[in-house]
Amino acid sequence: MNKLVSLDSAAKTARPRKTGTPKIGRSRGAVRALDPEVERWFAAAKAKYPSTQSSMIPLLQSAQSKFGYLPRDAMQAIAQYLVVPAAKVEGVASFYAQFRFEKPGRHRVTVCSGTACYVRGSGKLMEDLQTELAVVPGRTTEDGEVTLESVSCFGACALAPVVVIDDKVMRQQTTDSVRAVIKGFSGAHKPNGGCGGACHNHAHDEGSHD
Amino acid sequence: MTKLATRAELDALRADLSKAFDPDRRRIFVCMGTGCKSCGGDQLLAAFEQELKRAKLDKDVDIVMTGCRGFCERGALIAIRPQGYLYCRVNPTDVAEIVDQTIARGEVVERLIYEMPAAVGRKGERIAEEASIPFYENQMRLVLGMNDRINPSRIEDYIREGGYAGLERALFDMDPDGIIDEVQRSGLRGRGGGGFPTGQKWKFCRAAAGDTKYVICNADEGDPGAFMDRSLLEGNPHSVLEGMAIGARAIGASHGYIYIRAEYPLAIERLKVAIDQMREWGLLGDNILGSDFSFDLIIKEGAGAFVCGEETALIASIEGGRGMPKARPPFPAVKGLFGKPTNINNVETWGNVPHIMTGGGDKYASLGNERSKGTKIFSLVGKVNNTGLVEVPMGMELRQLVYQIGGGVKDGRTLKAVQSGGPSGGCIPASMMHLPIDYESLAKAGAIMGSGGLVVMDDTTCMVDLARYFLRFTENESCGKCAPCRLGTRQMRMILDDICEGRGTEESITQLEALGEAVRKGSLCGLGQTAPNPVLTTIKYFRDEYLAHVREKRCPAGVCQPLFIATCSNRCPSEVDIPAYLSLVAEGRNEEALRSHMDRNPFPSVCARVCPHPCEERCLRGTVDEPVSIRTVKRFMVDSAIDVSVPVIERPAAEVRRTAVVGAGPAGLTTAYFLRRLGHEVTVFEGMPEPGGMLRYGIPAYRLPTDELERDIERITKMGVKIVCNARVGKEIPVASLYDDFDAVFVGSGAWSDVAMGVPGEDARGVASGIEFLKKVTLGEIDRLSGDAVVVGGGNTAIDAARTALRLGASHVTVVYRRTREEMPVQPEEVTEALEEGIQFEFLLAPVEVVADGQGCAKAIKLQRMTLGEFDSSGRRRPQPLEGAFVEIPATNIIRAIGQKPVVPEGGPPVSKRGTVEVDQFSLATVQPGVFAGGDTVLGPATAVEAIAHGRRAAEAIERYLHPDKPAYFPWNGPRQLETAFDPDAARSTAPRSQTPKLDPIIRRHSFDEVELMLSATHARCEAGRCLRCDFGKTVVAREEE
Repeated sequence: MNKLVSLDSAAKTARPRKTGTPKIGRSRGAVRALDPEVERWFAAAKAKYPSTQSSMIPLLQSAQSKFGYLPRDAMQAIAQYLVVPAAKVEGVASFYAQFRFEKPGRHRVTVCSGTACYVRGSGKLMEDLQTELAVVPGRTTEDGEVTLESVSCFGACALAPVVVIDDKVMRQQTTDSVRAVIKGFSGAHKPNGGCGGACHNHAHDEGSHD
Repeated sequence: MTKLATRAELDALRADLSKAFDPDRRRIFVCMGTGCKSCGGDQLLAAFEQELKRAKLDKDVDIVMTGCRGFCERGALIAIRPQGYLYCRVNPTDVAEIVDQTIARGEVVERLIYEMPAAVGRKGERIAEEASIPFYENQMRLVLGMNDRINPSRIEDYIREGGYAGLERALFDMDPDGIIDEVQRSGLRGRGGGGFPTGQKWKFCRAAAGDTKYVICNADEGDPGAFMDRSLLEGNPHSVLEGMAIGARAIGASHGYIYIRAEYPLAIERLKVAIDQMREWGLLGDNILGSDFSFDLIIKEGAGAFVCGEETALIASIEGGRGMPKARPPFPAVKGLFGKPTNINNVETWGNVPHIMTGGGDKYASLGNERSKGTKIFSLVGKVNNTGLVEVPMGMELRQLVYQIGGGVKDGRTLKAVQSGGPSGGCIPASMMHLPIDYESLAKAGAIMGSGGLVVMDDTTCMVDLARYFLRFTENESCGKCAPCRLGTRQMRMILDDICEGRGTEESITQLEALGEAVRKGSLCGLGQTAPNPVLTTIKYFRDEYLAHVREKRCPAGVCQPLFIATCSNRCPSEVDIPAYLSLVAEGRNEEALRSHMDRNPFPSVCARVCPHPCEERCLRGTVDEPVSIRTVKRFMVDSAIDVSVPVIERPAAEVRRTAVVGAGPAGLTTAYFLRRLGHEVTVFEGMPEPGGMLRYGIPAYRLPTDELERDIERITKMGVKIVCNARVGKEIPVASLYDDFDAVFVGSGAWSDVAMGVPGEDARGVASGIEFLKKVTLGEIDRLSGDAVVVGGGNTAIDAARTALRLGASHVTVVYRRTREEMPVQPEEVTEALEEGIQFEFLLAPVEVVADGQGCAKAIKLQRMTLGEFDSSGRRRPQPLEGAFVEIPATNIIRAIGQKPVVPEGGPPVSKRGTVEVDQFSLATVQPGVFAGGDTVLGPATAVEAIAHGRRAAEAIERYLHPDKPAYFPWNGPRQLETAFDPDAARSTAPRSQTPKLDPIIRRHSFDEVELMLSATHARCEAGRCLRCDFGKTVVAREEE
């Protein structure tokens, strides 16, 4: 891996503030102390990933798997460690669909919007869930219970439409079946009462099947 | 385990493993692919362990956890060796039975084996052996070959099956150039979609200057609808890694990266295990097997960006930046990862390499066709019966894939198109299913091979909406670096939004085409360059569907919500407002219901009896229990309502025009009805003694009583439509005189001409055409039959003729059809009724001769036994003669009903090769100005409701033709006014679908009384109340034009 490190240092874009010593970077970051939990994660992560540009995404992934999202402090820490501006870290993070910047809900409902799922009705399913939970994909319900997400393809196309609830892959789902699971969450999320113009009855739900 | 230090050690190990392996030992293979795992694969594993212990078989039986077997739709899958049984949809509760019955006694558990879907003409057939299931039987599993018998987490299994022998050859028997030669000879091309020759790619990279080089495995499988790479990595990670090692050796790389989607946790885990094992066994690291080759592998998890499937973007992502592509050249082969020469291949490409090394390039090249070699893995998904992962030789026809392997389209629907290549690919219409699967053929059709996603679509998929779906995807995934892609995809998506939401115009389609071309030419990388493909191919092959959206604000597939009130009425050819009349009937307001029906269809009484009710097949109640029995409610409505009259618009005399209608069938009379409503004068010329056309002379009274038909016709004549009978246009009345005397002419002369069987003896006495026979019965020219009757054919006319023959006294009536019952075009309930009445059906028989007696009278029909062969373009299996197998059925009456052709009056509009009049499908205008045509004359033999739909369409077009300068106003297209009560929060009706009461079959045999009876008021209102009211609260785009 040494070879990679030396190669990487040649990448000029990764060092826009090469003039500033790492110390300056650190002292600026130190205006506000890092969240202690982020601090703990960071200490462990530093040992695992070398300070090279190509560690950026693995570091972000590590932070997200630890916290469920990317706390600002974690991005700050990564920026300091890799000696790049925080904007660069955020720029990379916001480019990829995987990264979240908000704390997710206690449960995650991910609807696959791949082609196979779409032609078998996931579009309508997603619409219904948005109305049901009163959130748009990527956001969390007000009570912090459910985060609704969309993924471009799970690669479980033969089981379409697929919904992944808390990492459990569920095949051939309908609005009714997902709704039943959501209702079963402890601290049951209250479904949005007034469905608005779009969804007045079950007929719309089952529209996903025809 | 000590490291393998030499080639000899690996060979010795493989020999030992192979010797220790007893192929006849009892084994249970539990599929642990993502699909089967989600169906409880883990619990199955535990259950088998427990049950084997209980049965004291745990010492004698192995449980093998395997990767994906491909048949995910039927998961969780369990395979049993040595018998080779495959059990589908297995639950942990089934395990005890499997152990007791199959493992202990070798017997099959019938209820768990595969059952053929109806679509392939072998309905209900059950198959126990995995290898005999058509899904597997027609595949060629080379790359996936080991998936079903090795545990992906055990390197020993892979080695035992011949794994790493390819690497051995590459290390010790060949030099790098030799490896590249071998790969070039194999003809292997990139499986990621581009199809670039792999050997050549390696050659470039090998030739590039520099000591440090990289190989990369592209496992960023982002195409929605594709999961080949995931399954291969999950099921046989070593094959991909071995391929990479061989490639690295060939180009001179010492490091390899695997860039894999983070969404594939199981694949990542199995890769990690495999890499650790390789390292542990000395197949990775320094001086592998004692050679001079050193190699190491690193896994990089992608973070969810489709564009990273593009080589340069993928490299940028590994380097830790935003995954944005770079302009090429320089190509990665020269300047790639960290500025060093890099070779990137897709997972499947790497997976092919070991096979080429062990089997040789020439052997590999013998698979496939001219320019595409080897096999290709597809994920066959969408509206197909057998969804899953399949591997087929290149060059196989698409239809074999869809029908033989895929088992046909789900729920008996019709195939519309196949989408290949994901967002970069295109749609191939059903009419092109004969295309061979290879890079060039698919590209020529406007699609691409892509990584192998094959999404099957049926008639309920809207192609415009699908194009929008893909554009939304590429718009989202566009990295934003270049403007054509960033802005172009957005603009295209917005135009598609317009079309899907009813704001589109014909110009929108032109704009889409122009923009698509600009985006294709101007974009930096493959993502943008191919993004317009789904739009351009759907416009190319489904322009009519786009036109229906923009011209008529109609979505034929019933997907674009703002364009219809409910899927049932959208599916109805005459677009009757079904939820409206159902809800009115539910409230007992039958007269208003009838009025609502009359607004768009003037034949309520006829349609209540003979309509094949396509509406019910799209009724959403069908997803809860069974569809609403719409037709029987209509029957009740018609029979119980006081008749209504329809208002006629009073127009200034100067605006009133005269139209002649040829033929008083459903198409002609409907045209007359709507034109009359607009205030025009209409004269209908009918050649027969009474009006009604096919409704009167082609449909027997037991299905449509004459009184009921006359009720509908009388309503039309009461409005002032003139009907002149016994007036044969083209004979006594020359067509030219109509052109002179009238402002417009509509030709609805029907499909009365019959198709002959073309067999010897057909002119014998006693042989008649079905339609001629029915006509004569109605005219009273035939009032009884004696002897036996055979009817040839499987359509409506055939069954009508058979049931009529029975009622006229034929002692024994047999219907013979050359295909099977599933393929009969007739309504299934009519076959049931015919069977109840005692009519016999013989399938897979085709006539070859009518046998006559000495006097030239028919005495029997000789038939050839048929068998179902290849699938034709309609998705039905083509009947083929079974050599030497003939039967003779004695009969003095032989009725042929194998087809009908339109009859067009002499001097009328020109006809096509099929004998149909050619028209513009929107206006029904013929090439002659002022002359329109519709119904069977245009469609060939079709249904009444389709003819009725044509009538309204023609009337609208004629009005526009007669008054080209006036804005057209059609009262029936006005805003919807419906005031029926509906509480969306109330519990929905739980009543089951009503059964139509029918006359007793014993009585039916001798009587022309109507077979179907009316529902009681209570039942009818209850049935109408089953409607889920999909229309409630919905506003749709107005159809008003200009």
